[in-house]
Amino acid sequence: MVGLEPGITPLPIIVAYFIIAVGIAFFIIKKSSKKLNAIDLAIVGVGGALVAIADHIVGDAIFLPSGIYPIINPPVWFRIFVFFIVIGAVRKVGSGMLTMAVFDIVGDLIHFSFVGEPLWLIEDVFTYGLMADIVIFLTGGKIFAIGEKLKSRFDFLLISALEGGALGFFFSFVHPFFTYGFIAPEVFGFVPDQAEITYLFVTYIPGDILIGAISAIIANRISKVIR
Amino acid sequence: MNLVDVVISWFFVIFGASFPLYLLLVAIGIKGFEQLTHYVEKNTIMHKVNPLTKLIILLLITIVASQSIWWIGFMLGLIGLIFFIPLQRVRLIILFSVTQIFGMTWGFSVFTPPSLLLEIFHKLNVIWTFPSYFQIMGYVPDLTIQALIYGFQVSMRVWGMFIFSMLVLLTTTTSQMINALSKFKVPLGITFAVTIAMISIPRIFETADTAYKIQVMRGEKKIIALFQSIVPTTIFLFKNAKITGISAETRCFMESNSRTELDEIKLSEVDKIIISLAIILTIVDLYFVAIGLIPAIPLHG
Repeated sequence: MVGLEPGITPLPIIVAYFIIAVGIAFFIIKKSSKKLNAIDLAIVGVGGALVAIADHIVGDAIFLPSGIYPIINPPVWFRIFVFFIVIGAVRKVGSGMLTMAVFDIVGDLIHFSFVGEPLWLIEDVFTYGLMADIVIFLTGGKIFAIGEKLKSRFDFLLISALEGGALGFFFSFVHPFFTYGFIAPEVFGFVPDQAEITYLFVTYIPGDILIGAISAIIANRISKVIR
Repeated sequence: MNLVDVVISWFFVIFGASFPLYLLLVAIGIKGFEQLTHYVEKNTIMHKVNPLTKLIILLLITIVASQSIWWIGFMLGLIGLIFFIPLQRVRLIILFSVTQIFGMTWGFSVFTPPSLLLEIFHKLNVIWTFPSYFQIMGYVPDLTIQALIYGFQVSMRVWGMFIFSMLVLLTTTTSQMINALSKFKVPLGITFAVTIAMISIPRIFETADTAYKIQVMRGEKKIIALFQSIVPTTIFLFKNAKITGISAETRCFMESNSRTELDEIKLSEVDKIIISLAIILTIVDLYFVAIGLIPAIPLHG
């Protein structure tokens, strides 16, 4: 039998992360005063489906398996782009995790099937979704400077780009260490390569930061039209 | 390495990326996607089965395919294809399957370390050598027959589940799915959001198609029209979602945590037989895997 070591992310790290993540998720949901209403849920529903199509159909079609990936990474970029618009439109704690849950379920249905579930669901909800919700919580529901009373347009751009870029940076950890480094090997039965993980991580960072910043600025503008 | 080899290597890279894209956008197209994701109104066996039964079968197929050798997934996929005949979606599902299988096979074959392949196959037959700088992009130096076989085997682990997932999507209405999710005690808010999402899938394609055609009619080039249709599509869909949310709120949605049902769907005798049979077959498969009669691949020789 062939082992998955040494490439695989150590199990204790994965378990510790998700235990802490669940704790933080409960904490911020409990502390948050604004609850999701039917309009928010409807936007999250449509948004989750849009994210799934943008990522798993449009994005994957471009990404497949070009050597340019992951320097230019359409599925992840499209995911970030649409996801930021959705959380920008709702701006309530829980919207990030719920959007990612919907994205995951719809994505399963239209593309990857249910192989590996519920691992993907847990990963998406408590990584991308939770990270977005933490920013919503920390900004008091004014993520990407939406709803802020700032003096100049430059301030809006700066805050949006900073928050979007920061989220993009944290998103960069997810695919190399969680998806490729742990869950995919368990599900598909391949051995992860340590060099590939390092390569993925290094190449994800600039792209995710850039697209995160751009998406946040666009989300800032689109959310005003939607709500 | 001479220039011809470099050109051929890059051709492989570009072909690997563009062939699935061609199938997706040209052979299937937006209309094809709409047909592959929209409920098909027919009276087949899959329509008669309880959605809960379908979800349980899907879960069991996932367990079986992910634990067993590749040809189990392949066989499950072939069985699933039969159910697409009365739905008249065979051509579309085959084309969509090819994009998935080709993409996964190619993706795994150029990125899988040869050391792993040697452990599984014990020998490697090199069919192409990439330029050394391809390793910067994560490519392995040599493309081998064993790498292609390995990639195909990995894709087959997923194919059976993929086929049955599409089958559930084509033969289950949204309200049936809500009932199934409610049975699983999923919170009402999440059920609502997922339901809206499922309704939205074909609507997204319709809206995107319309927005794209309007941009083309305005005289934009096709690729520019594609990008210019993103924002109008998004805004239109979100505004519709807002109206849906308001409609739900005016009908006191979520005033209580549980939903009432006028006509409760129950598991029929046929459903019970199908579920029992599926569970027995799953247990048999897992037993055969455990004793080594069915190898689990690629990790278990």
